[in-house]
Amino acid sequence: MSLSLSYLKYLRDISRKMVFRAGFDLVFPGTSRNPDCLSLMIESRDAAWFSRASDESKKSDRKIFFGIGTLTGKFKQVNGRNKKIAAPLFLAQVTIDPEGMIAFIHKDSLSLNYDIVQYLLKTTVKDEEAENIDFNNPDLVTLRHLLDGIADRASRLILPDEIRVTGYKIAGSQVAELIDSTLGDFKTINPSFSCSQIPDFQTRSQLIQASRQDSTNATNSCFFFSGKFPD
Amino acid sequence: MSTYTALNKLIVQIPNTTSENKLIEDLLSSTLGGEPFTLQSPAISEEQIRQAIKFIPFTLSERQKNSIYQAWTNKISYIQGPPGTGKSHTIAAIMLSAFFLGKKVLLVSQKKAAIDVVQAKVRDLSGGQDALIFISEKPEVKALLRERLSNVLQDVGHDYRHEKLHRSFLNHEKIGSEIKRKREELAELRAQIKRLVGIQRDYYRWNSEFIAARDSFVKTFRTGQIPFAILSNDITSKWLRKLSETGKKRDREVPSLTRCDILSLKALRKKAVKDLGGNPELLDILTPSFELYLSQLVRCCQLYSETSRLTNATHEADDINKYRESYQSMLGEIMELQKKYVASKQSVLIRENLQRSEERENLDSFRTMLRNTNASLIEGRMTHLDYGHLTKIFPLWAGLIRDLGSYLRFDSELFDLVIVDESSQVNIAEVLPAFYRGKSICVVGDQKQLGLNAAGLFALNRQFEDMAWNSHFGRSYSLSSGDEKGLLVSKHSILEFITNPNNNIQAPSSTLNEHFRSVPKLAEFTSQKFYSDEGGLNLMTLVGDKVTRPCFKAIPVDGLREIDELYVPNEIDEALKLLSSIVRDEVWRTDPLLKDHFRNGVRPSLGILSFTTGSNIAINLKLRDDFTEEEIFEYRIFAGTTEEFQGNERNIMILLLGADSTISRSSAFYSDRRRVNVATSRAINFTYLIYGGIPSNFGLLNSYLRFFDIPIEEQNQPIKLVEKYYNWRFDDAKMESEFEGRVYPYLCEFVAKQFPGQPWKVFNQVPSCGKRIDFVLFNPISCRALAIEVDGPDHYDENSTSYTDTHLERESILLRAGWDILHIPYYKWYSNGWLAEKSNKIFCEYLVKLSSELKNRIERAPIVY
Repeated sequence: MSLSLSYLKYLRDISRKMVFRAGFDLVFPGTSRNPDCLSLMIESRDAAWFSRASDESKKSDRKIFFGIGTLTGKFKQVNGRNKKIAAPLFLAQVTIDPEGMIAFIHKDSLSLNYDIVQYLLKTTVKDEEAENIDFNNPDLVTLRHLLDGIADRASRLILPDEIRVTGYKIAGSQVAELIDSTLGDFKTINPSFSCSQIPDFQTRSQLIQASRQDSTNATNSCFFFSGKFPD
Repeated sequence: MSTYTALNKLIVQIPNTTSENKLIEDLLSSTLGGEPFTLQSPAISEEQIRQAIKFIPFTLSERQKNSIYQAWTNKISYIQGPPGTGKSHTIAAIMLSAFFLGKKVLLVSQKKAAIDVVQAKVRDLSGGQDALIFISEKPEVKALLRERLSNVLQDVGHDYRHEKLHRSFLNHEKIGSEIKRKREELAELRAQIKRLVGIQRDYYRWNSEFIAARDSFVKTFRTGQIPFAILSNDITSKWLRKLSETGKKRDREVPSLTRCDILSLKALRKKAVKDLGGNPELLDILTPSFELYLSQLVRCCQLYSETSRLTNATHEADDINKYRESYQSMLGEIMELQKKYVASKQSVLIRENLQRSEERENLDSFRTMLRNTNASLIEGRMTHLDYGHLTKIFPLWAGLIRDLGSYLRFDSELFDLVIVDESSQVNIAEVLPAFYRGKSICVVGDQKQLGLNAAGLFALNRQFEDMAWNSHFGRSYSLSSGDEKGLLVSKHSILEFITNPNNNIQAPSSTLNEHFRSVPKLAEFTSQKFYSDEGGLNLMTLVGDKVTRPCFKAIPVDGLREIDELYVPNEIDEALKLLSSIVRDEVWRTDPLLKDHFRNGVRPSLGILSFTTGSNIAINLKLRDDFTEEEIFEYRIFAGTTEEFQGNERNIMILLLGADSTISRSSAFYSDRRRVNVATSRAINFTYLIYGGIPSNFGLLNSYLRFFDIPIEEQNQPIKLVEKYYNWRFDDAKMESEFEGRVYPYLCEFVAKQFPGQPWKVFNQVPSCGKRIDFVLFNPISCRALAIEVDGPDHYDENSTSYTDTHLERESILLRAGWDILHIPYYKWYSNGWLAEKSNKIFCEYLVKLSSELKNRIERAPIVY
């Protein structure tokens, strides 16, 4: 019985650590590889966006997500290439009610954005090379433990059941603290990752502008975005 | 409810030994603890399943029937379905069989396309009614279901519901009685056909034996074509006795014959000449050849007498073709009735289970819940619902694995059977909550198509695997042991876990092998390259004019791959050019390579499959820029990676390799058999392969190119195509009897006379559907083909315990594939022990009838698109 229990616990934990490679490393218009990608800063009151997002979510392979914390700009990977990122650090799926401009959070879907993590882990490999990664490399083992700690902290984040766009601020200090500690860990993971925390972006244009900078920025901004979910 | 939460609930159950689900408990303890796993499901008899299968409104192959049987009699079973072999058909059949077994089924998959196909089939097979409840998180899907449930509630919501139930019940009974009556007629027809086939077979066997004896006699004694006497059994016995006596006399130690012996032999000789038609010149009583001649002659007469006696019976068999036609027509009527029967059964179930107000309230609450979008609100509402009752009204449910929790409560053993489609792409963690809702499981997929291991993204996930594993197992169970048993989420699909030989499960498997999807040349590559070790696939599309249609074009483009982005720009440009010509210039109507496939004027569906994610991103971006939503909708254009295409098919496929000739280090990726199997088997009609270059060490892709390396001049010569690539030809060495030797020139003469100037060809022993057709009349210009079956050894398999069933199954397979078949009976072609001559009046009259029948058949033979 104890082996079965251990196995179920393993299944449960690993079910939260899936890299979907769903393009969640670039999710803003102008940065995304998907020109239809919709995003909305949480503070914005935009009925048209909710309506569009609702339509978008009807497509079979698309879902709406709540992004917590942002990472924008470029960072240098170990192979010397610059990687552009404009994405949330954490994400959770939401269901949109366009009439009331409410987003219902699927709380147990909250997860670290593993699509970004894979870049930090230096494993942005080509399709045909993925099989050749040496997972037992001691550096990778250490990094994984750090990431596990981040994921664990994120799982303790208290999220509300629903988000109404007007004047909403998600447990601000909690998120800020999480982002802070996460960035610290990211720096440990990848020394070439330089990032200074800056104040919240208030508008989407501020965020897009930041995403075009060469430096990397992180904020505790929250936003919604649509994404292709693997079908 | 997410996988995470569902697994958490299971975790709470396990340590308290309150696991409500025996299946999961046994599965885990058997795999991890080595305890024996009992496969057998609670009692359900073979007869019950056989009866249920009879009500499924379409014909099933023996393997499909076996799959249904295994699914219902085992806690775990596996159906292997190579590309295009009717997995969805089989799943639909299992689901419909549940109706008649009083069982409940849940179908789950990762792929919406896979569920869509099954849903459409079930709808079609249940008289257009939605017998299957499909829900997803998508609002429009929920809205549709809400509307349907509103209609159901409205139907039972007034005072006449009891009368309505009564009427439904009567209607169901009436259809059932009608089916029963027609089945009895069908059984009579089948019995008649079996009896007449039996007569024909007996005649064939005796006559073949006679011909062998006759030819040996004629050859030994050079008698020429002589008539043979008909002997009664008594007379034959007397002759044999006499010959035995004379033989003994000649064998005496003193070999001289007495005068008495000679007189006796002379009398025998006279009698042989008179009664048996023996040649007096060859009957030399002084030599042992006398007995040899007579014994062979008597044997010939004996066998001829048997065949003559059977000839009278064969006259009855004159009507066998009429019986065959009636049988097929009756079968069609029954299938239509059975669709109505399924629909009426559904109607009874609904009305029967919604008579009481609390039952209606329960369904209404479920309907109301579908309006909710707030996950915690939905979960709250679910707790008040009686799912046992909901699944009693609607026994068939389907959903995407990730959406299950949004409408199905986490109840143990809610369903009798959970079916997982495309299971090679489903990981263990996500499917376990679905299994929890069932008592047994049936895993459908194909080990030879892509699994989790093939997708790079799962390789990335493996980084977290050992950490999670070790934190829970510690030293009690190593990761490598888990790996050996197929237990790792990022590496092993549920299919690999179930079929892992290191586990104690040993689930029974059944492999579907009738391929119905692609034109034969495309399917043949799949069959030869990936399934030859299993005997290959029976190509059910190797029918009529499909064999002559071009189906492949390789388009090499210059240019190198973008190093960072993993795509070849020229490939993308070429693909867009091609798409534009198909969508905007409608070349599918005019291009010689495409037009024959789409003569019916229906727009082809289009797919662009990218081997690399880089190509996929690039083509998707361009697609959205260059094509309107209407164009994408009308041509059902879908662009995806190989992984995304698994479970999908399109009429025309464009494959983008994302490769150039310098990337030889990627050989393992491009030579992955599972990947190439999926990529090359998606097209129904035509495949374009666009590539920057293929390095010489990409063995599989190079052999793919070679396989389709058909010179353009041959592509325009259909006869050459079928002869060279499908081995359709006339081969004298393959003629199995003198009878076939006579039928062949007759057929040649017939087409030359009846259709002068038309390019009709007559082929023999034509391979199709895993069988060999005796003759095929084929006209590549008019696109008509007719199968001619003559009696021969293939038709009367001696190894089979029930030769008539084998014979009818063979016919059923060919008909299912779309062949029009004309049977030419053997016995009609013989007269007096020899092949009949045209001067024979009876034979001549028969030929006139045959000619007319052939002409009718050819003129009505369907043109298969």
